[in-house]
Amino acid sequence: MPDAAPVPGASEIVARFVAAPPAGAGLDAALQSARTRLAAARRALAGPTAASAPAERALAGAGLPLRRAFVDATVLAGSPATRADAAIVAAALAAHGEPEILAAIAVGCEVAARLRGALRLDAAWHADAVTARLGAAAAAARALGLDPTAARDALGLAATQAAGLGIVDGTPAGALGQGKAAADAVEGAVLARAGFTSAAASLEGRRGLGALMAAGFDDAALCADLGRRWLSAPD
Amino acid sequence: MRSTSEPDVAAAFAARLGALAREPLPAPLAHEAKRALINVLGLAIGASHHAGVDAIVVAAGELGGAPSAPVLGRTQRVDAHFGALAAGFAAHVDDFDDTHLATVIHPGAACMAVLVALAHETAPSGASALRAFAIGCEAQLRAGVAISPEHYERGWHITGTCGVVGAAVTAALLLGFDDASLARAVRLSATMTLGQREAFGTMTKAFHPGKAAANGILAARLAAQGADAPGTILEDPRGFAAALSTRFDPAQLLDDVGTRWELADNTYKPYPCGIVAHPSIDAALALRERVTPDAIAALRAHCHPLVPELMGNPDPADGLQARFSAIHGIAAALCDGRVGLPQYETERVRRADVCALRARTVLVASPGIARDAARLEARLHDGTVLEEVVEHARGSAARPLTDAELFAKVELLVAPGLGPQAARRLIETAMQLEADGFDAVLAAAAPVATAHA
Repeated sequence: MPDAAPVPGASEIVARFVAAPPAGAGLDAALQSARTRLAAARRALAGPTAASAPAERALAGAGLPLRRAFVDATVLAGSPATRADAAIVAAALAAHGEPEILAAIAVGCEVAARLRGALRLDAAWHADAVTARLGAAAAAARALGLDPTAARDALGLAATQAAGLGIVDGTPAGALGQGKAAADAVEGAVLARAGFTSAAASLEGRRGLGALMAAGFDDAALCADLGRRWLSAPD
Repeated sequence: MRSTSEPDVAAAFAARLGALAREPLPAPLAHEAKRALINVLGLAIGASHHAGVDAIVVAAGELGGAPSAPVLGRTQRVDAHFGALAAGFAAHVDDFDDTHLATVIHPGAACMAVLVALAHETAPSGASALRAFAIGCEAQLRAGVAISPEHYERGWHITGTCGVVGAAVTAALLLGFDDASLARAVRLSATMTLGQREAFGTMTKAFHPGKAAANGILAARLAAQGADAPGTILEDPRGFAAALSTRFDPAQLLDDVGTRWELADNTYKPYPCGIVAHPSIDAALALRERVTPDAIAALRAHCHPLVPELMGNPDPADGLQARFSAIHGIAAALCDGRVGLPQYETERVRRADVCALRARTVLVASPGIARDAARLEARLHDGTVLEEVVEHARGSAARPLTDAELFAKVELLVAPGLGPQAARRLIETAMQLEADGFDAVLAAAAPVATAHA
């Protein structure tokens, strides 16, 4: 972590990107890639979904958006074709209708990809589970059209809930973790829109995600050319 | 007991907790658990109209299922998930809840929140509600001790991370689980930790015990459906303890369960500010019995060096800063004769009388004075010098808050919203929880239907 944090900080830069990803060829390519991911997700969700039965029953008393996010992400995490972006796609699906879904998936996948490059997570954490949770929060924030401040609070709520133990990677509990990440993302976005506040520097701060879970935090890998160069949809 | 060599620590831990739940709570523990419960119920009611609770109620309206849980101190009902979130949040948001000093866990908020959220669905007897609460707190504290102090030092908010484990135990016991299901709930809860200290100073700090409660319920519900996490989840090199700390001592989870209670070491804050300032505030309250503030020319508070280091702000600009100003606590004690939440409202913090007295007060770091002690020296305008010495602060381990002091604190929290009668009824019903049942406590915690929107 650099001593002199740039102004604005990394969390703020990511929040601004989530709230308003700049138009251009990069975004167009990312939306095209999101369309492919969404189609794959819809195929997976149309198939048999026995793996999600415990989640479905355990969340019987929850409201529909949270139940849907949780169950869909659990299903998607169980299929190799959709595993990587399960929580991101499910959060986007639960949070909004069609045109915004694609932008939400694009933004969410980009935030997750950037964080994968920026964080050298400790060995006990499953890196993709941690970064997908932040991507899901970005997707939900984009889908709900949050302003930069609310988006930063939504990302902060996701950061403080970052989890994903290495030992559950590839197990049913790991898939449930993706389900939970998607539901938490939707919850966090709605809370932030309602005025719930969170840390201003949840990713790069002294007691934030990077400091607690990773050996290193590469600010530039997260922020450089964010929105102009898309790692999740290379041109 | 050769605990450290047992495989599957989570299952062994759950078996001990399950056995504990089949016995009556020892009377001193039952009493301590009620004190912890009353304290967090009072706090949650006192904070029931905080903007963060408003946001949680809005989210419950958009995302929640059928209402089944009360929002303490309000008339709205929400589903169990948001009921847990609201209760755990409100109990912690004023930083005035119980503290286990060895771990700095605030165990009451999350376990109380599970009780409030699941009371309707599980209809526990008073005794089983109290047991579920006490054993959940104990589980949470033992999990914390096992990974302390490195865990908190790295930057984790231990009230959230370990709160999830305790909340899962409370939920599982309320739901009547056998030991095998309880073990699944504990293992799943270890995958749902939250709480980074970067969030301190924002609403998200108090979100931690609230969401810990909701996660504990989720872990228990998933366990009830047969879901599970790997057996070595706590001790595995890619598991709970390794991810969250560089220390793991499973003996702290497994040894002497039922004979040694971490919950017995729980403490209660008498004043809503940093704990190191409490001895000086005690001394100022005693001095107030002898002198009025305007007779004082100068005040010197001799205290442990941590006091000026952590709470040295001489002239706080608002209520939040005042919580980190020992000098404000001293001045407010002398001006108002009490130090509660009203003394930390910005308007009170900035009024002339208290500002003037703060300007005449200094902290003197004294390495010879213990953390729970203080000596206050007042020079009066007529030249007289008065002294007050506090050897052990109220609420310290050596001088626990008495029941009467705790009840007075809870009355001050509850009465402004619900009235003095409801405050006394809440205390009475909670102190005779085994006889009255938890429903009676919840009834006392609800406003009369027309009192609040």
